[in-house]
Amino acid sequence: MRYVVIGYLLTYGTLIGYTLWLARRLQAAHKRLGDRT
Amino acid sequence: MTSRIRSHWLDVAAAVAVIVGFVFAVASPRIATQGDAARMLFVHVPSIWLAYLSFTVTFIASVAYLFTRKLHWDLIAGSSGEIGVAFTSVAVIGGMIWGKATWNVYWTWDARLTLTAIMLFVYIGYLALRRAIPDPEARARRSAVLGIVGLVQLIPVHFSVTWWRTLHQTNTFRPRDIQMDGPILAALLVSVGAFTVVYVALLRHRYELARLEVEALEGAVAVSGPVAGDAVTAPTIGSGG
Amino acid sequence: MPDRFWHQTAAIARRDLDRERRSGEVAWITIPFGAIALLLVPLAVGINQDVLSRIGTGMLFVVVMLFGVLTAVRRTNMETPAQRDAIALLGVDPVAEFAGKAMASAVLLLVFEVLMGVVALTLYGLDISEWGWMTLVLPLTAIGLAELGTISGAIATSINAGPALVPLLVTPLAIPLLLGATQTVELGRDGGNLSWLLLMAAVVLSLAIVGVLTARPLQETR
Repeated sequence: MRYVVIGYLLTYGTLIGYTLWLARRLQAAHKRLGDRT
Repeated sequence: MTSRIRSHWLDVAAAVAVIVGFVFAVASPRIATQGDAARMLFVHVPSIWLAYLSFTVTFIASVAYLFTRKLHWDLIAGSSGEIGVAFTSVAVIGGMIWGKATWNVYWTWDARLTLTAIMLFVYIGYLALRRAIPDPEARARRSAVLGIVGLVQLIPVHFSVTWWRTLHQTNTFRPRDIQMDGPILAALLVSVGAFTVVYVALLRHRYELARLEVEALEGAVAVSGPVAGDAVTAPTIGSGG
Repeated sequence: MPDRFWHQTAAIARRDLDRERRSGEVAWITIPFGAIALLLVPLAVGINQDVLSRIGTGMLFVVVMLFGVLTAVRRTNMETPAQRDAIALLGVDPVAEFAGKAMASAVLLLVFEVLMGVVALTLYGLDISEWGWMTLVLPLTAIGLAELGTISGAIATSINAGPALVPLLVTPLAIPLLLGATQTVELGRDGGNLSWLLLMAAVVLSLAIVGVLTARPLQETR
């Protein structure tokens, strides 16, 4: 049972982690382009 | 403005879908033949589905790029590739956890898991290739070829690994052993649907990031600000024009 | 028309082999490196003859996969953008270029395989009488790997990380060749190895088709 919990944590954790990473990169890209104008 | 509202809705829908999927997964009845370990079904199968979906999208977008030479197709291919690698990693790790929960071993050379791992390496290579080429057009052309070759060649990989394992059969996942009756099937479908919505939402944002990166690159190439040569002006000849 | 195609293919293959003969990279570097790799394994896993006999054939093909692919990224195979432009402007059929390069690599790979086979037979105490199927398997592996290496080499051409990238791109996709080769030899006719041979042939054919179809887009690659 404990493995299932770990499995779910890893799965949803990766989803959330990737989303956050993507959001951070998007923020940085917007900022970089914003600085240009 | 309206497009921003639209993408906002997609994100909300994705978040809701994930929560609903999770609820279905934990609330579903215990799977008799395999016990709690089989709950991994609801995260592992959707991850695998998404891995295949992502790389199929990469394949289609790669073909579309080679035919149209429109860069946005390549940006879609690359974005889907990155998301695909993320989901494939999840699928492999989920499979390992399922194996540990069921047979107390992290790796059993199960055909499906081995194939997923190989697929992961193929698309890590795809991402590595993209990373190695700064110029968007060059990157697009080469990645498109790899995106196509990769998926096509995964077919013989699939056959060879599957045959190889039927010869040396020990531990295999047999999701079909799991009784796919009402609530369990429903939970599985909801999970698959939820992950699909998440994929679309992530793809949209990753594509936006890719777009911004290309624009930033083009902006960096363009000259801005005063240059020393501005002091020299061309002589006017006649009316000039 | 087909005449000119084969003429160009042969010319390119001959050119590549000539360049390799002059530089000797495969002879002096790749082959010794592969041999050392085969030497390494018994040092690592122990010299128990039973174990070595069992893993010998497999290790041969692993070394062929991993180090053989280096023949596809040999220095004499890598062309500068200027050289590639010259070839394109000369009107060389991109498909002929693919076929010629793949043929040259296949020849070099076959030589590499045979020599590695000798090393494996020696170091792992293998029985050559069980290697009858090698006569079919070695050429198929060589051609398949050469095709993969040529396509990947073209994908990664002129990239700084190219020589490092190509092995990563080739190896997972070469797994059907690895499995086909080892299973064909180990199973034998009675064990039903015909399907494995057919699979290898199918892979070689599909790679040829892929190589032909991607030759033109890749020739235009900057």
